[in-house]
Amino acid sequence: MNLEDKTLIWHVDAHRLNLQLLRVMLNERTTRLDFGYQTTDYYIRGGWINIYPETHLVTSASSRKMRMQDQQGIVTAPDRFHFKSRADWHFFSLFFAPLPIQDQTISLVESEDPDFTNFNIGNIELKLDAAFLLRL
Amino acid sequence: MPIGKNAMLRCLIIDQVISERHYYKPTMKRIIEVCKEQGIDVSSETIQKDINMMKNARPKGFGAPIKFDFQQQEYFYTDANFTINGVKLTREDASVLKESLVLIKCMLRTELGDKLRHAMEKVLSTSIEEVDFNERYPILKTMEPPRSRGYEFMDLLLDCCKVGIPISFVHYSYKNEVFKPVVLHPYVVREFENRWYVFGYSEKHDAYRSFGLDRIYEPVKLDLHYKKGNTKQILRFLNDMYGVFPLTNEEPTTVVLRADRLTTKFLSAYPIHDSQVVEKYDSGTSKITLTLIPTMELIQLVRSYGQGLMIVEPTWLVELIRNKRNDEFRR
Repeated sequence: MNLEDKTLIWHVDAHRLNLQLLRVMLNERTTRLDFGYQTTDYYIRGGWINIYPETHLVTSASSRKMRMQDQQGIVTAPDRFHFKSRADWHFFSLFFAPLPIQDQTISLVESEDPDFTNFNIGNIELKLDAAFLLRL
Repeated sequence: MPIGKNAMLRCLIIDQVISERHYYKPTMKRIIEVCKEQGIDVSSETIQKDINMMKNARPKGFGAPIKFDFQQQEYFYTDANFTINGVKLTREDASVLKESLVLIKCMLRTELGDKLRHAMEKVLSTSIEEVDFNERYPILKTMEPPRSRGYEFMDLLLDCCKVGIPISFVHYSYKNEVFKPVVLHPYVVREFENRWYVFGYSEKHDAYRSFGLDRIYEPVKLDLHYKKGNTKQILRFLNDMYGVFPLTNEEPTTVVLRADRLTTKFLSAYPIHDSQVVEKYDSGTSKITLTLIPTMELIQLVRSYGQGLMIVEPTWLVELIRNKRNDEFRR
C-alpha cells in the first residue's frame, strides 16, 4: 500500500510519571504526538507544565533529530501553564518534523540532560501494520 | 420590508379563498366573511389594498397573478397552480412550524440543527412573514443549559453514526483520572439530563460502551472497516435504561421501589421510565415497578430522594447499594 499521502495513527500507552503519550499521528508533512497529563498530590495546586522549545524526537530509522515544530494546548518554556488543583488534567499535542514512514522505535526527548520532571519517554514502538489510517 | 403579521394573516385568507374556488365563490364578501370567522374585522378597502400588495413582485409582495372577473364578480389566479405558499401551509401549519422552530433553536444547537432550522425558516419564508425571535420574553421555554465541552464534536459524531465510520479519540476518565486512546464504532448520540453521550462498540473494551462527549479529545475518522451494531442492543440502550451507564449487561429486569406519600406524587406526575407502574396503597405510599436495565443513574436518582424512595427488589441491587458509597455510582 502506498502510504505517502496517508496519515497513520498509532494508539500507544507510554508513561512518564503522570504524563501519558496516547497517540502518534504521522504523515509526510508532520508527526503529531497527543499527550494527557494528570496532576498529582506532589505539588501545591497541581503545579505547572511547559515544554522546552528544543524538544525533539529520535528514531531508530534515522540519525536525524526531528525537531518540535509546533505545539497545541501547552506553552514553551520559560512560559508556564499553571494548574489550579491537584485533580486537574490536561490534553496537549506536540508537532515534529515528519518521521520516516517505516517500522521504527522513537523516543521523545525534552532534555538531553533530564531531571525527573522532564518529559522524556523512550522506546515507543511504531509498526506500520499496527497503524490505523486516517479517513479524510 | 417584511409583511406585518395581520396583513400576512389576511393574505393567507385571500389565498385560501381563491384556492378554494371549487367549493366557494371567491368574492370580496366571502373573503371578509372568512376574515370575520378568524376574528379579523376588516373592510373591503383593506382587502383590496392587500390584493394589490399581493400582486407586487417579491419581496414587496408575492407576485400573485390575481385577476377580477367582472362577469362572475369573483377573484381568480390566472395560474391555477399558484399559491402564496410554495408548499401549501395552512395557518395552523405555519403556527406549528413556528413553535417547532423555537424548540429546535433550544434543543439542537448543532450544524445539523442549524440546517434544520434554516430549512424550516425557508419553508416559513415562502409566506415572507416575520419570524420574530426578538419578543420581550419567550412564551415557550425549555431548559437551555450552557454549551458544554465536547459539543463541538456533535456534527462529526452524527455524521459517523449516520454513514458508519469508526473513530479514534482520546478519552479522559473523571473517576479513574487516566487518559485512554479509544477506537469506537459509533451508533448513536444520546442526550441524558443535558449531557451528551456517544454509544458504540469500543475495540479497547470489546464491548458496547457510552462515552461522555465532555471527556472526549480530538476525535478523528478512521479508514477502517465499520462494525455494524446489533439493533436489539442499540434499542436496549435507547429504550430500556434510565441513563447511559448500565450496572450489568443483562436483559431488562424488574426493579421494585417503595415510595413515600410525597415521592409517590412526584413520580406519578413524572414517571422514571415508560415501563413504570405505580401501585398505590391506602396511606398514599406506593410500590413502583420498573422493567429496565439497572444503571448508575437510576441508583443516583433513587438516592436523591433520600428515605422517600427505596429499592426493594432485586436483592442483588439492594445489596449493591447497601455496600457502596454514593460516589461509586458516579461516572
